[in-house]
Amino acid sequence: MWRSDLRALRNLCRTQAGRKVLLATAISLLSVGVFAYFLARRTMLRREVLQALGGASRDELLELLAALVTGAALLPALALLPALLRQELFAGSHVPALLTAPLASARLVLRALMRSAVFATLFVLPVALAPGLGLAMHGAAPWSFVVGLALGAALWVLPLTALLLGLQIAITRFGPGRRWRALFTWLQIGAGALLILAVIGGFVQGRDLASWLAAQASEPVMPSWAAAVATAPLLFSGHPVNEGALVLLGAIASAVLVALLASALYRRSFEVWLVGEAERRRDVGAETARGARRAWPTSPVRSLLRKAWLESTRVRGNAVFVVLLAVIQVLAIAMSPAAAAEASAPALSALASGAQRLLASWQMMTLLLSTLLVIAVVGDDQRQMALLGTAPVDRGIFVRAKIVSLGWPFALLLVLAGVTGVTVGGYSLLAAIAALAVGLPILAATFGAMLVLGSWPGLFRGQRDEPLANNLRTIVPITAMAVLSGLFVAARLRAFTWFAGIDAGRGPFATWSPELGAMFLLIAAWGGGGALLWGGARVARGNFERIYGAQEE
Amino acid sequence: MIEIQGLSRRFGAVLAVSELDLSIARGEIFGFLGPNGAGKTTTLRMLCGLLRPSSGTIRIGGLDLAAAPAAVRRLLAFAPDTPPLYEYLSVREHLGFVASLYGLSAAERDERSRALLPQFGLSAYADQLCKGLSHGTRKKAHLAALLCVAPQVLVLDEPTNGLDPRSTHELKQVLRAARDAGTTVFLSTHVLGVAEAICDRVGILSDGRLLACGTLEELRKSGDRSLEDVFLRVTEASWERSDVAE
Repeated sequence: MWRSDLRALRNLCRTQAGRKVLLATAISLLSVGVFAYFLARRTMLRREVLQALGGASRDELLELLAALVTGAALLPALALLPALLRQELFAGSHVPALLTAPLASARLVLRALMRSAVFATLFVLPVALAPGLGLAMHGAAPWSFVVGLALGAALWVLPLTALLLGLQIAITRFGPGRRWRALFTWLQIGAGALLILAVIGGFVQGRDLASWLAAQASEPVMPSWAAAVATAPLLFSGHPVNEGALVLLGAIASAVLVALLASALYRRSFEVWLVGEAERRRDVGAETARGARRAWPTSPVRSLLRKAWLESTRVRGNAVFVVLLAVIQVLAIAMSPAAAAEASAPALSALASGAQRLLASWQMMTLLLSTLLVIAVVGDDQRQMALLGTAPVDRGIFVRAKIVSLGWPFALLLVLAGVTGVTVGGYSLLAAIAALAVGLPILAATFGAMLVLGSWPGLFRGQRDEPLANNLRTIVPITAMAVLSGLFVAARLRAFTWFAGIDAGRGPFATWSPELGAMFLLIAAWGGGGALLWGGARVARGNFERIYGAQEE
Repeated sequence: MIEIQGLSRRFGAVLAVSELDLSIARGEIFGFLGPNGAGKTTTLRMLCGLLRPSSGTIRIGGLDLAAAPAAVRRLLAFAPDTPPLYEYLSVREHLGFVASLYGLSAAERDERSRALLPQFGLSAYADQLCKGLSHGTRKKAHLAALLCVAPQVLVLDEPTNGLDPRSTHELKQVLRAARDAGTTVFLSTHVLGVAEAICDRVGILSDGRLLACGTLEELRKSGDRSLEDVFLRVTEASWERSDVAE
């Protein structure tokens, strides 16, 4: 079995299709690495930390950083492994063939463990390497630390995989019901939520985290788990063997033991899974009876909207991300209430300051949401291209339907920002209305960009199911959308800074009255946002014509 | 109804379809046969306006596909091998969705779907999500949706793949009924029995070239007892070539 796996890997390099798969994987890994480096720059590669690393307590601070990096590096593994293991143990098309072959269960389980662990490690390494490389390039850490960090993080993947493998086999064997599945799903969503919170924490509180890290250098206080994790990589970087290394070695030994124990339950759990799958298919069918008999609209736009609405309400996980963003936004606004100074400031200044603070939280959520939804502009209907491409429908209808079906979460979050600001944050109603007045053109601009990037015809040429094409289809628009959303954030900040200058009587526009400045900004925002949405919709319409028209390849 | 002249399609060095000439009358069921990789699906995709030909013209209902694609789309409906269903719509909703794309009124849609759902044995599945359906049922659901819009030309890629014998039998009856109502059906299939049973004419494609075309009687030579004999005889030379190449 190992030989056939290795041979398949070798064939990847030898065939054109295989090389495309490898290139697609490399692009994914590179993106993960760049993202990790970007986050590290906002947190630990800051002046305060780098200065502290030059001090006497360097080793302690490196240990602390190792703990943080290892923890962060294991998050992609945590996110990937449940689905990987499910595929390797139950859902993969190869599983029945392996289970009916004269092979011991332990071999099959160990194979699933190793394959999943190796694949997850590929995604752990860029996250572990990026911050370490940054530190080493600044001369703040030795290169052996970088290697040690990567090795340590990679080795932790094995026990993590074994733990999840054991859990998945046991849960499938003893709790195949809907409630257990829901619990397992919510655990995964919880892990995802933690990841998002960590990312946002890195963005919003980067400076505080950096100061905190620097402060720890003089008096490091690490929780015991972090100490154990942190000291493990140092084993590989010339430090003496300590309890951290023993913990890691013990965890690896336990991983093998857990896999062997789980193998005793594996065959029975597969039978239970098969029965559960058949029941699940029946459940899925039965669920729709509610509302399925409602009259279907005859207008194509309303029909596309109804389709999008039903998909977002019937797929349970779909709305979770929006709800999660809404909760984070409410918390963010509650934690940054209206400043007392705003109450005593002149009315227009207070209004601008309040609107600015409310928009900051909303725009962060917009950034996350737009990068997520940009791939849904065409991606949601990719499997239906043969139907939509041959349907006698004006392509502009698809654009109109997309604006509404993808726009509602953004608008909902904007309204929520205003309502939360007034009810929880203590902002004035006028500040909330001002936030709405500025937020809507930002939303229009965001949507104009989303429509263009998400429907770029170059991404949909050629083989639709090729891994490379699929990866490019996801990574390119997400990256471009993140950059553009960042520009929109910068534009908002620049506009408010400009207004503050006028308000304080500074700069080249000092002679303008604040009212004139505010009016000018609003007109510019609505003009710019409207133009971007109009232009974006026109370009998107042309893009839809090309995507749903006759293809060259 | 369908006029194809000098149709070719090249993918890099590979000539998938070569100089295809074909004429199909209104109300005819035309079967497109050929070994794997013969160019059948490529031809169908060009016929539906999903793939641009390298050369040649396609006219449907007198309209040039390259010049008036939007007008041609109003006449034509296409069922690919993998049914393009939205997983989280029910079968009834899928029918409604497709009907709305083709501009059917609610009354027309309801009347036709009331007849088609039982005809395809879909009544029990009407309010179930497409996600939970078997491949055969999914296929029937999409075919029912396309027949609901009563297109003038129906293009089907491997329509009987994954269908059980009863569903195949029902499909044949439905296609005959559509033909009798004036619909032109262009289908590709590997199942020679289906082609033999319902097709007015068949074309045999191999290596992108149309090797034979006509009614079964026209294609039969002495010694050919069935369409299978005709198919094996016509494609023998290209089969041997590919065998040697391998």
